[in-house]
Amino acid sequence: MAGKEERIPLREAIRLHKRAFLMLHGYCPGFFLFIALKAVASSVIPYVTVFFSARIIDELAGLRRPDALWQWVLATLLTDAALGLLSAVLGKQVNARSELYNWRSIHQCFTEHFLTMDYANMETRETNDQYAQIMQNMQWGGLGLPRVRSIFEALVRAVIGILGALALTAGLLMTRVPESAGVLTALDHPAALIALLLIITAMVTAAPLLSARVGFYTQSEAMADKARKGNRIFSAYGFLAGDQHRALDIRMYRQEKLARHYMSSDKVFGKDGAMARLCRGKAGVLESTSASLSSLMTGVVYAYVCLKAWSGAFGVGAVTQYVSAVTALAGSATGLFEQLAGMLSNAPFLKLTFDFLDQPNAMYQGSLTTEKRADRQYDVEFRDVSFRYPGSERYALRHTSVKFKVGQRLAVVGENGSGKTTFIKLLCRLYDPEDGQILLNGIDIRKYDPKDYRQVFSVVFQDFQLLSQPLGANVAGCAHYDRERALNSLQDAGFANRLKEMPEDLDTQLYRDFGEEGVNVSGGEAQKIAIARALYKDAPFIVLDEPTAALDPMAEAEIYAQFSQISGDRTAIYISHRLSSCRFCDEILVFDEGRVVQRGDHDSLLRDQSGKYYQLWHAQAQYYAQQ
Amino acid sequence: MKKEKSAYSLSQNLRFMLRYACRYARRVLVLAALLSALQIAANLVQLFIAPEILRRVETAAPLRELLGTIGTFTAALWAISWLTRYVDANTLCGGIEVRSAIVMDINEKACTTSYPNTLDPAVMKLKEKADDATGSNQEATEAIWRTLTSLTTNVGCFVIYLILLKDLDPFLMLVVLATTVLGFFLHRQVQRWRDSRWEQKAKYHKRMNYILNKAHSIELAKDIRIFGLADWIRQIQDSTLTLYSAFIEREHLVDLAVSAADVALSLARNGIAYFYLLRMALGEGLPASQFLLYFGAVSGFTAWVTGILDKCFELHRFSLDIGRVQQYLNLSEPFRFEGGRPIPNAQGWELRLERVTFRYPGAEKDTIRGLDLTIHPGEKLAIVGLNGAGKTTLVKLLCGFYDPTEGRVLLNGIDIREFNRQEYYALFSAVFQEYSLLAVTVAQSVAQQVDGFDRERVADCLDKAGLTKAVGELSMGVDAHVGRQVYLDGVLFSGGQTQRLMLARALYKDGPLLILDEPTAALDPLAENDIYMKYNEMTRGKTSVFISHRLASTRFCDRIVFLRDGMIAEEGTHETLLRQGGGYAELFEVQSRYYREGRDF
Repeated sequence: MAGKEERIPLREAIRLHKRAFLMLHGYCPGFFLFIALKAVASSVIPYVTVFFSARIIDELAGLRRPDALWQWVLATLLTDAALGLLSAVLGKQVNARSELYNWRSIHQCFTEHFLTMDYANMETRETNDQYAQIMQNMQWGGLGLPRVRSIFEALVRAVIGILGALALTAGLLMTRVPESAGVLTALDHPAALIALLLIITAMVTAAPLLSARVGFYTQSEAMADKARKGNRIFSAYGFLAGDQHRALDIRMYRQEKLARHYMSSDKVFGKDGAMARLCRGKAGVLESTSASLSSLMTGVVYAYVCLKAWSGAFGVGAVTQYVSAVTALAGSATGLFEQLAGMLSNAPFLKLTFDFLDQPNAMYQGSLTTEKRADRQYDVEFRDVSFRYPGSERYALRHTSVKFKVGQRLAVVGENGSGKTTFIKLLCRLYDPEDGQILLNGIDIRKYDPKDYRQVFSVVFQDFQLLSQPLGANVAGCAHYDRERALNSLQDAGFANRLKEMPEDLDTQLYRDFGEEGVNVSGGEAQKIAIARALYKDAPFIVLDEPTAALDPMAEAEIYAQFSQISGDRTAIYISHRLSSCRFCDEILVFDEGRVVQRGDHDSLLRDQSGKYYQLWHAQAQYYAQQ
Repeated sequence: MKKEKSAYSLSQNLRFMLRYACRYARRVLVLAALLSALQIAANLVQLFIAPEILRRVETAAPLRELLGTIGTFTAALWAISWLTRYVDANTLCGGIEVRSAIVMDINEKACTTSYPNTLDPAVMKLKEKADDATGSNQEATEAIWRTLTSLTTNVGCFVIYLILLKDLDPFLMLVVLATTVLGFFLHRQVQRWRDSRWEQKAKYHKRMNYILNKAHSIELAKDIRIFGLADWIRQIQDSTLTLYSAFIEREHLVDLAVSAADVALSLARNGIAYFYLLRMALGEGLPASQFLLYFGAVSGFTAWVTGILDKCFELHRFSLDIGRVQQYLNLSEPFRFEGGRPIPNAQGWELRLERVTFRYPGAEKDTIRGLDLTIHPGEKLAIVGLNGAGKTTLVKLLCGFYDPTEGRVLLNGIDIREFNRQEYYALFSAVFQEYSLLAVTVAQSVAQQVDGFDRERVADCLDKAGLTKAVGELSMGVDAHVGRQVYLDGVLFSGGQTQRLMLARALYKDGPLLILDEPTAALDPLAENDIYMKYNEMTRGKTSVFISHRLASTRFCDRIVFLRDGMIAEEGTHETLLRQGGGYAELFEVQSRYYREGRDF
């Protein structure tokens, strides 16, 4: 993060926490209610014990009536047991929800955001950085959303604690020192009470202030930055060998040496790192001072209460009650202030989270529906389209004008980085052009409802992904689907033979990520499943991006041979580095540095010996020329 | 749960941790001892503060004495709590230092262990456990210091209480002991039951993490949008969570029962204690302050006994975890990594496979079958074949990543098992399909060294691999970091650029044996051709092996080996193989069909 951000005022911090609380509560209703009830039950227990044991001590120090004593003991035991059981029952409710809470609420709000955000936002560096930062803040200090729960719980405890303690303290102020105590009657003088109150208030506020200072050092953005980096290094190098794909290179290049170097060079949390220095120095001293203040206060309370008891205001039993109550009162008040301070230090992290979640979708969302044409008569036109990726200076596509009709088979070729994939991404409206327009049946595609517009396209991306879920669900893209249609799609994609070997047919789980019983498929087989998915969707346009890069020549030839079957009456667009694919396409678009430089069929393009196509073709074809 | 026998005893595991502490952060031990002493002191003060002060109020001691007592206790309490917190705050970093040292050693072992180990399920499981034991502050290799501190505190307090309260009736002690031990065994039983369900639970977590990562990943984002997969993902997530929730419900019911039992035990204990102490007070005139002290002692004893039992149990569990770390670190190596024959000085390098058969562990049939192959010094060999013919396995055998099931791999006539395997690896420059790109600078990536490398040679290798332009466009040039995993301003290379970077790295290493496995799959035709044109220069003076699906590349090789079902089906030059009209010729025909002029499709 650049520079020092401004301090967030308390009111804003509270607002942020309230918003976060309501959001999380919405995802996981009931959870916070039980947390509150549990907190109430467990905060009350100590006071009940204090109250009853004071009665017993009082009776012991005073009249020693056996009847009264036994009654008090019985009452203590029973209340204790009853509250213990209540707290156990509530605890069960909290625990059962607690294990799901992270998944259902914290992770879920990010999932929803990712599922619905513009793809254009998804790929930006800001998005990735912000998200990485948020996740790392959660990991290293539970900062941001995870802290909302603990703050809430502590606040409930503090409030109940204060109320309970006040109830038990009342007697301390109401019982007066008898006149016979002489000078000690001053203890009841308002001035003495105010002095006591002031001392307590001072300590109660000083402790959280000091620990807020500690937080200022240990949870400062600068420290968080170092910590996040330290954790990134730790997880990148500390578990290098965990990634099986690395095993060969690690051994060939002795990468463990580089890993060790980087790991030992940046130890934020090491014994001489930034954190250790803070703990030894300012932060450690402040924190210890803050933590030890409460024991000083205990002393003051003891002195006041004991003096009053000594002078005869109340019995010995009440001493234990009042001391515990006042100490608890102070402790709860400290807790309250600490949570306020906690909200202040957590606020920047919540703000970052909300900045991320509030990121607007900039894409214009039209409402037109694409006509469901039985004749699949769609035509697409790129009209002087230019495009740069967010944050990039370079035009990925410049002044591109292309028009193509339905039913054509189109090949798209060009060097790496010439704009082929960008062309597809714009066509499917994963991005909007910076300049120019893309038209579907003469209407700017921005005017269509994006979901509806994308119905028109099926794309098998180069880095297509299948999920470790049943085969059929992968083909259909949902759990409940038309089985016959899925079977037909798989057949058309050339998967029929492999399907016979699948132990549970369409219900066979792919890969092992989701369960041991999964079946691994090879890259070529996965490709066919991805093609089947595109066919199942039955869109008028089908795009295949580099589908044969990982395939051997036989498998490649198979895809080629099936291409016309795959494309059927659809408009098919085929992107490949293997120019052989151009031979079975009606038309070829040649991209170079973001422009369409040539267009035509193979023979006519090849006639232009100064053209890009000629150059590309011969770079490959020369090796296959007939001897 | 079955009782797990550890390969290492508790004392061996403790000594292991002590060795690391002594080597990396001695302070961990000192601070742990200090913290324990402070905690014992704090408990003593807490035990006596109320009774001592009350006694003076009860007996109406002189005011000065009362205030003096309060003052002394307060001062002691303050000093102890200050120091406790300060020491506690300072234990963190030392513990992390020690754990990090263990993490680094585990990682180093994992990076250098014999390659077959990395795929052995038993070893993988052990590694996973070793990683678990070092994964966070709460795991054995760091939390053990806290356990030891706590155990010492509990034992210390227990002993001191025993001495101070020797007047207390042993019957009361027995009651405390009995109820506490009963509670402990109950908890331990439940914990064991929980442990037995751990694996099942981990499966659910794995599933939830899997789907979460997919939903958040950029890779799936395009498919989600084009195919409208969002609802499917939500549904998978929901059904997984529902199943998980049902699974853990039983644990929470058991917990509830245990809590209820705890309440009952504590009711019994306190009931008996009250009954006994009250009778003492009523019968023998025990003063209120003494009553308070004894009752406090009963709770204290309960806490110490519970603490001792809990911490012993925890120590036992941690010891098992640490034992697994040791087991992994001391894993035996099938390959030779120490001693061995020195690699001979030679002008040229000949690699020979002698009747090599190889079967993957657990596989039903051989992947390589009785294969004889000699790669002569300076020869350029191409290996071709369909997917699954055994090309990559063959390369792994040549590189010494696997040892043959039968037969031998020879370097200049010497079985490679006689060499130190790391020295053998040093001979290779290789580009594999699976690669490991580290979050270091471009230059370090090429040189695979932190510093002290030849920057000119780095530039030269980048140039040969065709990356000069792309690297030149970076503001930091060769000092830009690769990837964003660690450095947020790192550069993201495309697939083709990454492949070129891997090539540059192989060129920099300049090993006499060059292995290229599909080095051009992600490259466009011009870039691919560019690499072919440079191939002669790259391989000058080296023995090289080239694997590719693009049969064009084989033209540049002296000899082509066509693999089928783990055996050499055909071998010869491109021309002779074409003339033979076998499998290679067929493959070539299939691939070149579309490139020939004058044919219609």
